[in-house]
Amino acid sequence: MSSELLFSIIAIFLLAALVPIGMVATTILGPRSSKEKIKNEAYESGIKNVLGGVDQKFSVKFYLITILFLIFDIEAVFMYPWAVNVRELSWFGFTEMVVFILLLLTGLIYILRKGVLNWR
Amino acid sequence: MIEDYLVLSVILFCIGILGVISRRNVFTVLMSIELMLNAANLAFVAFARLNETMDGQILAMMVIAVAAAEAALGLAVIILLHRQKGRLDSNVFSLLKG
Amino acid sequence: MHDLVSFLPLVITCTGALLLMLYAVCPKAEQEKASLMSMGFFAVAFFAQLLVVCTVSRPLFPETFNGMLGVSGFTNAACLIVYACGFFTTLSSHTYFRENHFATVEFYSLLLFSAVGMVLLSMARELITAFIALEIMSLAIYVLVGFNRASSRSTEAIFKYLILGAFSGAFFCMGTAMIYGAAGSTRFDSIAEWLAFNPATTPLMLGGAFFLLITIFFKISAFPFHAWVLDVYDGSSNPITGFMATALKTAVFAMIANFLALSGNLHDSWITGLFWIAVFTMFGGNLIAIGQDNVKRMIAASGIVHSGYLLIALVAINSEYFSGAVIAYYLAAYSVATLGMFAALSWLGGEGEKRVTFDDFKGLAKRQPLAAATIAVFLLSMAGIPPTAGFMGKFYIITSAISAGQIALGVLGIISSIISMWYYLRLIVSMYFHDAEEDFIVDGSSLASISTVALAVAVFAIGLFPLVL
Repeated sequence: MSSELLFSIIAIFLLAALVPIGMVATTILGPRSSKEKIKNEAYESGIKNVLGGVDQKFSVKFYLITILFLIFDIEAVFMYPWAVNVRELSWFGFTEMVVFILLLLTGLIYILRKGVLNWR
Repeated sequence: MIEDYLVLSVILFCIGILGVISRRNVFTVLMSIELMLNAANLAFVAFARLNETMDGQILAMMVIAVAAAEAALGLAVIILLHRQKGRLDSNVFSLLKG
Repeated sequence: MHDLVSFLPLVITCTGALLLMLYAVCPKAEQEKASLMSMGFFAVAFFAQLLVVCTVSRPLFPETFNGMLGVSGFTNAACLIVYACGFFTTLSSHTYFRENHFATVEFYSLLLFSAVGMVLLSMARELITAFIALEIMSLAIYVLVGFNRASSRSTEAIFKYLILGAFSGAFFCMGTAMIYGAAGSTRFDSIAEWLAFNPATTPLMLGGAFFLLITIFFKISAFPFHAWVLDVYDGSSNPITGFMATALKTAVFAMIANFLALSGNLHDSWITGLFWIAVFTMFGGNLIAIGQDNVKRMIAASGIVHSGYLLIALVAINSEYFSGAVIAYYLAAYSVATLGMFAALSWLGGEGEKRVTFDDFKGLAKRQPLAAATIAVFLLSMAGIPPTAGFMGKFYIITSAISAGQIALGVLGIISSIISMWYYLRLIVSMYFHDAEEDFIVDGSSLASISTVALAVAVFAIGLFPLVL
């Protein structure tokens, strides 16, 4: 109970006080940054021109593959708890997992047929 | 001990809110939202420990998956914005004004 | 067996979405065929949902889902509304994409996916399930909003909606974490059990419910979080705006009504807050709507006002007498009128949505009498003129408020409804009492016009339905 109270008090205090204070502080203290161009450039340990110009065109496939990796990578997370408990869950868990993987598979088929993973 | 985690989670959440409200770079805004979701995850796990149930950890995992999906869509939208405007400052997006 | 039947419509929609996704990568895929297929899926799901008879609330597959999903009469009604909205949205998209060429097969797949999210959301009896359903729905809707990649308005709309939606989603998550901390579970029945022995004003419960309500108010565009709605509705294509305004609101209201009806304790602690938010939402929405020149923005702002009426119904619910029927009835009445309005706009809007302001519809009655008549019916229903569905909906909401002892809220609802006539009648005046400046020639399929007529009939049918009972 005491921890709950403490948590709530801190939460309310931070939300009510810290957020407005922070907002005001950032407007007063923060630099008026007009250097947006620099922010958009590639950064590599202070070296400015990494492997030639920063405005060189990358294949759009790189960003698609990144996004796909993000999603499929996370979905593997659900397989670990199942793998740990596979004996206890037996066939029920197995069918659930098959349904889950089939759903993922439809996504994968879509991606493959769309040609996202083709190099060229 | 558990309280420390809860306090940390609230602080992270507030930093996230601040980031969304006061930052103008679209990437930073997206990262701040992820920070807020992760603050919630930390609270889930801490409460799971406090309540001595495992639910909270599973819930945190679900939230991670949802956050990944959201981040993927967010990145795609940012690419689209960058192609159209060539900038990532949220001030330039003002065609639709209230 | 019962559970299987209740679950079938959701399975049909989900399978439909997946099949359309696979169809999209077929070499011979055509957008028009996909729209017919998605119409079919929505229709089948709707009729399958009709088969579900459910009078008492019960959990769905208790062993498998552990009480995370549940059905009740109210949930069934909400699901029916969502499927019907999906069906009519597909009809109007079919017409809309004859003149605006940016549709692909994925559009309809996403429409079905968002319907899956909405149905799950109204069935959710657990907070994280609700969060996931909310995200399934929202992610699909975000993409649909920004579907026209060539238009920078639509890109800006998706950007705004995505950032704000994800921001509010984070609040939902934190709120769930706090409620989990307080009650030790995120399942509705466990929370209700906990609330029976503990006050709802314990700090964690209060904070958690507050965070949840922030998200809900954002999604239904209630007062402090309504600013996004005009821009996002304006930036998205007509059929999608209609879908967002109706189906999304239905699902979110179903979820929050289920949550607030958990326990009298919880509802009582929020009644004052809900009261003021309902009042501000109604009058704020009215003020915004009066200032609009653009029909789409006017309807968006009037959507805020209708959220206000629905909030009145939320104030009036309690766990002993759950007024879900009132909410469902009003949602049906509102959805029919709004969908009809957007079907008409998709049909008459023309290429690139060139007809959008009040002036653009001058003299429509002289050139297209049927279209003008149906639009007038929808507007009158939204304004709440008898014998339309909108009137009966408002009547039920206000009587439920008064019988719950909220007389002030009932009176304010009536006043707001009178104010709202101003902007509804303005469009009718501009359609009927001005000379036409153009011919309103639209080429395209007739599906949207059929759906406007069907919906106009539905306005009266729903309005007269309670009298038949």
